[in-house]
Amino acid sequence: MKKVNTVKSLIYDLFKDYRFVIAFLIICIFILLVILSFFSPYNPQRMYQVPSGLPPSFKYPLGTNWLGQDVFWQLTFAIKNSLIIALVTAFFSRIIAVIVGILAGYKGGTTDRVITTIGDTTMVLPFLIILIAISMILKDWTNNFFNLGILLAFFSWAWDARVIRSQVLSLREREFIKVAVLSGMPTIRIVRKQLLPHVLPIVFTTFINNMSWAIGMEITLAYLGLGIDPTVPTIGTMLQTAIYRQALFMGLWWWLLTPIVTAILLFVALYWISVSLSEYLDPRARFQRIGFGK
Amino acid sequence: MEKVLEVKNLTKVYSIGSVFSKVKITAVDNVSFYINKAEIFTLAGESGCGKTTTAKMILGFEEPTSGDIIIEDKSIQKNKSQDFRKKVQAVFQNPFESFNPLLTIDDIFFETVYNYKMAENKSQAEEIINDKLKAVGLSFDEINGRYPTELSGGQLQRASIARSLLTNPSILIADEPVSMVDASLRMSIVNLFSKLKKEIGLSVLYITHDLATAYYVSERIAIMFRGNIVEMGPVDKVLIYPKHPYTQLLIESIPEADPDKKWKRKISIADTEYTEYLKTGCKFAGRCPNVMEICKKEEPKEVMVDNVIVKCHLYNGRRA
Repeated sequence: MKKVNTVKSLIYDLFKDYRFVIAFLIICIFILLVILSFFSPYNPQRMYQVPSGLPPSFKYPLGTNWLGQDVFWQLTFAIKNSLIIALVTAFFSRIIAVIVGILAGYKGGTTDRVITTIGDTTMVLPFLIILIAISMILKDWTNNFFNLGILLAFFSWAWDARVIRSQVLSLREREFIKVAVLSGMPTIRIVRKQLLPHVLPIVFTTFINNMSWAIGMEITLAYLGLGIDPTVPTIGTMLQTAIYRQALFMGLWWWLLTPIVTAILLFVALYWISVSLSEYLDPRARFQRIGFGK
Repeated sequence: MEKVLEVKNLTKVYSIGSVFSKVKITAVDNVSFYINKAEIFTLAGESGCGKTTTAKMILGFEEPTSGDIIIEDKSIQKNKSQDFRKKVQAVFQNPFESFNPLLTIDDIFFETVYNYKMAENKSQAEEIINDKLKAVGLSFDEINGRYPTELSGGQLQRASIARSLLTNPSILIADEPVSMVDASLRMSIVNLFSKLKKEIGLSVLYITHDLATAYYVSERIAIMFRGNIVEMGPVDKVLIYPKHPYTQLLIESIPEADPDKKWKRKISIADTEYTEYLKTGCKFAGRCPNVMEICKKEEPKEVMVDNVIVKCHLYNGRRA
């Protein structure tokens, strides 16, 4: 009963923030589009299926491009694929960050130093150049969304591992951990039950940040013609194809504008969700809210 | 009387600094004492004298640099099993920090009971927990499903004590258990220790800087200063007839509730902890009103004077 109430009050509180509401609506619309992609009448990779170069109308809501593809249905696939890449990246990099961060923070000593050095190294590497190099050399391997996600995750776990590590370092010295040791709890249970609940709020917000970073990286790579096969629709490849095929020059503004507006909406929505969530979870802001909430 | 805890020549040295300039701080220097069964022993001293470090070593949170800790005739070095952990439990200073704010209070109670295999199912566990809670004046319904922020400091501290009693320990390490609690609750918690001592034969290592409660509740006391035990003996001898200059200074600095008696200012905070720890000779030489030349060069030896162990050059002549 208590847990249901806290979840309800959590959602109620979050909806008081206008940013969260708008972001939530945008994400809902996008999820709707993703679901629609499964009912698409056209195969997204085939061309010349509809008359090309038509502006938006009732029959073709976002118009058609010069390759004879319906832009609206392309978009549904694009959102789905971009989100898949983003989710894979964020998921794996969070898992690595949590495991590594807790290990380094709780064990300390040599383990800590080794792990932090490895993490710092991945942070200072010029990842764009390496991503480009790997995309060029292993072109077939990076075609797969999953592999691209893992590659991007490799470059983004280190920052959060540091944040988690410093939180664990301070938690380790608190008295309830000593009490837990005296109660006979084995180390793994202490980590799972006592430490993890403190660490997880940060992980959720950085999960969302990581997603927008991954989408940005995917767009960058696609724009350079690397990474995903250009015929597979993602937000990045839609943009790349539109620019490469000189959409603006031909006056087909809807072809170029669609991926741009989608990317902007997606970034704003993700950013607003992460900001409103992290402000909600920030203990200092919580005290201000306690005055209003009850 | 058998000894429940014996500490022999316990030393802890911390080296701090970088590769180029390392400084060694002896936080605990050759400390030896023992605690009998059903006895309350006070370890007193100002902040930064090494009492909490000693407690941490007894509980196994820090490794001693040298020396031995013997619990019920078994050395702690050779025995790290769970049964051993059952015998020594602790209560800490801050009741709000002793419980994880994101978990309910009864959670850690059940953990203790299940981890030490004291019950098979939930109702048995509840019985044991309720039993111990009654001994401290609480009930299971008061803590069931509650978070630490919903209880007062006094209730939490009592719950902390109940948790430490779950494994039926032989000795309880109480690290300043009453310093964050109000005066009336202070007495009830200290009386609780007395009651447990009489009823179940519990020994308590009572660490404090409050000499008034120490005098009230304990049988023997040791005064620590910068890592050394400077005076140790029966509590009425040490606190009524203090022999070491530091103990004398401490007793004098307890304010009396008499408006005619003015508080004398003989205490000076001349040096920082850091410089005092690094001194050769007697560490108290910087502040001692009876300081002599020998005090700054040689560390005083421990002598037995009138059933009290004192570490001071003033008593060097009288060897027991």
